[in-house]
Amino acid sequence: MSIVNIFINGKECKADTEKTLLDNILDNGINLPHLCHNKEVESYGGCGLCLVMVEGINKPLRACSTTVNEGMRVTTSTPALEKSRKVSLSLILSDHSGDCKAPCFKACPTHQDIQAYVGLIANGETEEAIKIIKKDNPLPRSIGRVCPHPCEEACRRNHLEGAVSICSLKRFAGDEYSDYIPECAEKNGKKVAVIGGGPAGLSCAYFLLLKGYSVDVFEAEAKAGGMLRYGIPAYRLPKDVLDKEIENISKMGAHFNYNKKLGRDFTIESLKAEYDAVFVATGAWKSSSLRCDGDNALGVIGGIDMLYKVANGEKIDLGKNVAVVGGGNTAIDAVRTAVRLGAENVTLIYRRTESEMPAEKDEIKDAKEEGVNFKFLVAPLNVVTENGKVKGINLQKMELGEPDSSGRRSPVAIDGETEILYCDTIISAIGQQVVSDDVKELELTKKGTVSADEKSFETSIDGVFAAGDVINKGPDIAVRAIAGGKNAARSIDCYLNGIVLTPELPQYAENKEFDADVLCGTEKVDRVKVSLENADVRKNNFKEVASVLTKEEAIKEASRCLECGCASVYDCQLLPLMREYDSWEMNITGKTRQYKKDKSHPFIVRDNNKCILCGLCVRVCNEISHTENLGLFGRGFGTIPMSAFDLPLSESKCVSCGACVNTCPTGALTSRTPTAKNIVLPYLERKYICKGCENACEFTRRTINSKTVKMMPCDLRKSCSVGVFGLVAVENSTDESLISYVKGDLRNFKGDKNALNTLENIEKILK
Amino acid sequence: MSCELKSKIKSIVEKYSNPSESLIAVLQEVQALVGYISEESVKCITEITGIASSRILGVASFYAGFRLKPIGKYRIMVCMGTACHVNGGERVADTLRRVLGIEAGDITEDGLFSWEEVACLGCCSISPAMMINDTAYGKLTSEKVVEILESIKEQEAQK
Amino acid sequence: MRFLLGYGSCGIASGADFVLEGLNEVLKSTEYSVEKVGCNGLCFAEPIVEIIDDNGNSTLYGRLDKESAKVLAEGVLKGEMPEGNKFTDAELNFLNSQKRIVLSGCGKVNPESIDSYISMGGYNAFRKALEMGSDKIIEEIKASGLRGRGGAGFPTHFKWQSAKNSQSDEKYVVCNADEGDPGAFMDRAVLEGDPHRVLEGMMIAGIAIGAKMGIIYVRAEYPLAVKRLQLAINELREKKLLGKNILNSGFDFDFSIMMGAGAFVCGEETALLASLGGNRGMPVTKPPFPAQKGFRKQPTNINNVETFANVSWIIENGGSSFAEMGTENSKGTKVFALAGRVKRGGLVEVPMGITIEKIVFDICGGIIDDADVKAVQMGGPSGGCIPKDMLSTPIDYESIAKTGAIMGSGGMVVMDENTCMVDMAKFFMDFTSKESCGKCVPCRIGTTRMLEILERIVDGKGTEGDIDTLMELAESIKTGALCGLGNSAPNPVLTTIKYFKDEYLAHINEKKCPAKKCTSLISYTIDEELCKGCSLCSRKCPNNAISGEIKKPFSINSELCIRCGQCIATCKFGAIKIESGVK
Repeated sequence: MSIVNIFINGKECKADTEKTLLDNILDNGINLPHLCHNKEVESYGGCGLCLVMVEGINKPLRACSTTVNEGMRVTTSTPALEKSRKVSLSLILSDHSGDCKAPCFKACPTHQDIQAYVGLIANGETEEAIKIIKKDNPLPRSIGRVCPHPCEEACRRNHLEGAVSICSLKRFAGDEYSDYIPECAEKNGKKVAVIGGGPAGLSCAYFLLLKGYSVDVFEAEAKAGGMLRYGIPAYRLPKDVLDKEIENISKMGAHFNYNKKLGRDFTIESLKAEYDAVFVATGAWKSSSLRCDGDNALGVIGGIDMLYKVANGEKIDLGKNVAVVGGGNTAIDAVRTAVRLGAENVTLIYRRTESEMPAEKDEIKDAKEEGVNFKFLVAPLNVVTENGKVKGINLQKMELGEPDSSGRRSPVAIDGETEILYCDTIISAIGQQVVSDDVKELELTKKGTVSADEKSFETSIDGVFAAGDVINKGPDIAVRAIAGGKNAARSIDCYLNGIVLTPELPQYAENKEFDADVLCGTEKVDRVKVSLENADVRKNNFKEVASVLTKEEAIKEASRCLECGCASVYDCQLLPLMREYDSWEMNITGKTRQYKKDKSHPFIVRDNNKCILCGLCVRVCNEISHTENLGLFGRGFGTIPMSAFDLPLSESKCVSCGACVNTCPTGALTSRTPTAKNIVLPYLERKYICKGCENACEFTRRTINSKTVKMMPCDLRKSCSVGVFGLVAVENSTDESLISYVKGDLRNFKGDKNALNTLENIEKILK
Repeated sequence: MSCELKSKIKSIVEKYSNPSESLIAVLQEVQALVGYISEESVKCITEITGIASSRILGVASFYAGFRLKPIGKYRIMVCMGTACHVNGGERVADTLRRVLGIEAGDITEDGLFSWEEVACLGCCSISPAMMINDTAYGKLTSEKVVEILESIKEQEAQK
Repeated sequence: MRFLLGYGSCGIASGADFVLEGLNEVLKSTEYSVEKVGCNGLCFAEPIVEIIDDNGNSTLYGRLDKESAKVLAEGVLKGEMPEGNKFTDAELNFLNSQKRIVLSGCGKVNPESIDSYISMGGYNAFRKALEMGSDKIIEEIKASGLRGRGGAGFPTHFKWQSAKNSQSDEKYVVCNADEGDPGAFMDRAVLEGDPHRVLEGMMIAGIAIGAKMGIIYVRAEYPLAVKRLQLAINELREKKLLGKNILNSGFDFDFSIMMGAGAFVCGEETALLASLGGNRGMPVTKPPFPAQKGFRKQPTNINNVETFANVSWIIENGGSSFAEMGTENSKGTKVFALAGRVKRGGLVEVPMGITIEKIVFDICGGIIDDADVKAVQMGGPSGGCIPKDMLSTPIDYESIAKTGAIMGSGGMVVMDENTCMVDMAKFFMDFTSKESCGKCVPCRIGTTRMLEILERIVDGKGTEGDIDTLMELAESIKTGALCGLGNSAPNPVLTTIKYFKDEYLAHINEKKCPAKKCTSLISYTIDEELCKGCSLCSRKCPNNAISGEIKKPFSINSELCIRCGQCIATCKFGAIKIESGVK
């Protein structure tokens, strides 16, 4: 070894001639992107990121394959080099078929880490699961009951026998640990007023409380909950469940001022004077009218008005025959409530067919079971009245025409074909509107909703934010209101600290070309059936219809998760580079490789879809482990690392030394714990001395929830199955068969002779 | 593992003082013997030489000259050189695809034909060209390709 | 009287065996026999027979078959030189306007006889070189200005010197005979036609750098070359020109042949070395250069066939005579393999400095059917298309490089108006993406993405930004690829965009292929005036796309038509036309 002086970006640095230029640059604390280099194995030059210019040489060199000499002058960044790096990273992205985060994560408006909490439930760690849930969702018990779960639409399991029942798992975890309250940061001395105690307001309050703000909630009604309380019938969401969740928020420090109505008891302006910021989430409480003759007749009532009255315990007489107009969830809530109020004939009127109904399919089914009639392809023409009171509704028959811009086929009137449906009450459940007058202090949209920025939720008044049903497009599902409140809280926090608001989510790679064929061979397990109260019984009362999953059911259901999100998302070397160089901008796309995951090994998962062909696994398998199990196969674009004859890892020559897993820069080779599901969460790392043998090798021990999930030898050459997987096996499993992976293969292990004598030690550890 | 194959491969390997360095030559001879690089022959080479199967397959799958699938009795090699391309060579491939009903690298059900695209055969002056086993055919048109295939089929039918 | 039959792969493919049969039938009862020689490069007229009379006068006959060969032999035996199949003066001009050094033995020497080579002065240079010793050899090579003929044109003496300077008891001379450029076949012709010339050059290089071993890495697709090289090596051993202490000079040398297994990238030095070691032919970064750390990690000098084939001439005639030919920076001659839409395709060896135009028109007789030349492709997949108005570019490394093409190994593919330049770019990109070793990102994924864009364009699905994306990708691949294959892979696309942007735009914006080549952007129609209603095309159509009534004009159903061209080949009246654009 000899030390020379070199100049890196003009700065004089010491360099070791035995090391590559790249290692010298890194040793000098200068950042240089690289993905295929590891100083323990031969240089490769594959990724093409560590390009540098060396004075006197007119073309870029790969620092990983360049030696240093005295006086060498190196430049690590020029516009051409940066451009080349950007293109290379964009190219890598175009052939990196993987999901950093599972599709359900992106689909959920609050971006809950579904894979993590479902995985924890599957592993029997429900308490940890609720902690994960409540990081992003303040009302899991309510949402776990009422959410139309867009996450489940995105579930890859839909390509098999049906989505994982994520929503009921959330409810399970929430109900199991209903007292769990996350810890709030120390009070920061700032105060925020939240107007409206519905899902958006509660959510905003919750997230502000977590950050240490003092929050006062102003609620027009006698109780908080908003639409969750007054719009959703108790048979779906029992009031005590909601009460408990609100109480938890109250325990976190939220101060609720009930019966305080905006415009009547205070103004935004008045709150502004007292608070550092104001959040408006007053919702959309006005039922849309039928917009036909007679729609103001006695006996015509808005859907939400009817539900409000019922929830509020007010008396309501619907008569024997009830017609409900609309196809959404409110219409279903209305018909099912009407049934429970004793109406004999309840008919739902919808202008399209059942398949176009926006309401949940399960809810429609349940309503049918409860005896509700459905009348499709009819639209109200006018209300038939007698003495100013409803007698029936005159209906126009419709047929489906061409699909509209949303892809749904629009109903078209059939000339001259009408019919009359006789009824005592008509409930109009065709939508809700914002009572604009309440929020007239703020700039409104043409629809009469509050105009707010989609990302920052800022309104026309500085320091006043708004979210939920009251803004922009108006009413939406509850979980989106929760997301709005959550993001508004983040925005308020940035605003009050003078920080520029960052995007809600960082960029993630997505497998857009997902090929369902890669799932073939996955065992089919039917989705759990949530047990419901018998229709004949339930239709007579407002008791909760759906029961919570049993623990066994929950574990079984959670175990169906395909674990789409990448196990390396928190330690991926590629992802930060792709973000730094915005690999998405060039939008380079093309054919991708689609492989099945190899999950045969208890500790190693191989997902070649994410392989960027850095060649490290092959090099360490040959040069460090001397196993020569992995090799590169094929040529060009189709090149892929695999075991000879494409054997699954568990059947191959693999000695489970883990060197490949610990060098893979992406999620193509990941380690997993021998638990039902591998938990992917931010982790802690500490130094650890292996007790597997007298070598006492130094490791980095990675833990999640104080369980060992990964062991990385500080010196890659000390990779051995005992050190890398022994402790993980002991801590996470009692499965005796794992021992063969940890000890048996050591007989072939050529890496560290001393480790051969350690069979006894392993058995000791494994006991 | 058939003893016969193993002993044949052994005699191939023994010709080389350093089978690892001469792996390509060994594989060329094994391919000439077996017709392609079969899984069994790879295992034989590993057993005899100790060269890891992953490396053998890595090499075999890298070079276009090695086949990991069996070939037809008539192995058709379509030249993909520039001259052949300029003179309409892709029609030769299209015609084979259409008439034989198989993609490049595959084999017909009767085992008679397999076809592949190969680098320039060096017959540029008679382009477009193809080779069937050791015979080169030049100045090809779709029609001519069909005729050649038909005549082989006829010949085979008479056997 | 001698009967020389061109018996290279191309000659055999064109029917040399039938000619041999015919000649033998006539000659079997005579004192004469047929001498099989290598290809003399007159590929356009294969199979070829050269008759050399007792005075040494040569007469060339081409395009022979069994019958005409018999007629020829019978005539010659009668003492006359039949006129049938004789080369015309214009055709002879093809040969006469060349300056042959590398090809001087091709078609003249019997490649299967060392005596034949020796009788033409073979191995004199080797003997001379033994006397000269290392330094003088390298000096002579330096004086000749010889540059590598494989592509990049690196000065040969420089490589030799640096291999000589590397200290080791074990050094190697490697001949890169993995000729892989589609459209180049000069190396094959030399190896098949004059193998000793290459071996002699390698032996001289062995003296120069101090190597005891020569390895020829030759394509397995050239079985005849392999066979003749092996034969030549055996003869050399028999003559004791190989082995220990050759000619009592103290110089030891021997050869081995290694057959490549089909990977274009192995033309790249470091990939070739990996392949020689029995590994996947994946390049590694340089330095270290092979001259420092090559085969078996020992100093190794790698040159290609043509480079070695020049060596004996230089040693014998002196570096300065070689340097008299050519231009300031490009000395000597260069062999080109002419193919494509040219009348007389074949091998052309000319002094450097001559223009492309001169080669295509004066030597090769211009374009088939006297069509308009559109471009000349040089340098294969690493090169570029030089447009018509730049054909006056002289042949030298720097001038060619300025056009965006490269000298390359000497493939020259002539294109006329019927050649679609976008399709050509796609063709080469398809080639390089398939031949990419898969190691580095820019080449592995970059060429694939470029190919996909080109495929979209020729398929009529190109969009506005495609040209910009292609250029952007091309620049980054040039900068970031690991080896020469990748660095130069974008050249065919860049030169066609540079010179034929209109064609790209026509494909992208108008969804038309001006050359009427891209099947998605053309349609076949029948000219009603010309169609006689014979129904021949209809019967030949593989997809039943043509219908009509006998004796009335037929018509083509565009939707069924697969544009295979069978009908055009069949129609006797020229009634089937190709139109640009889709109906």
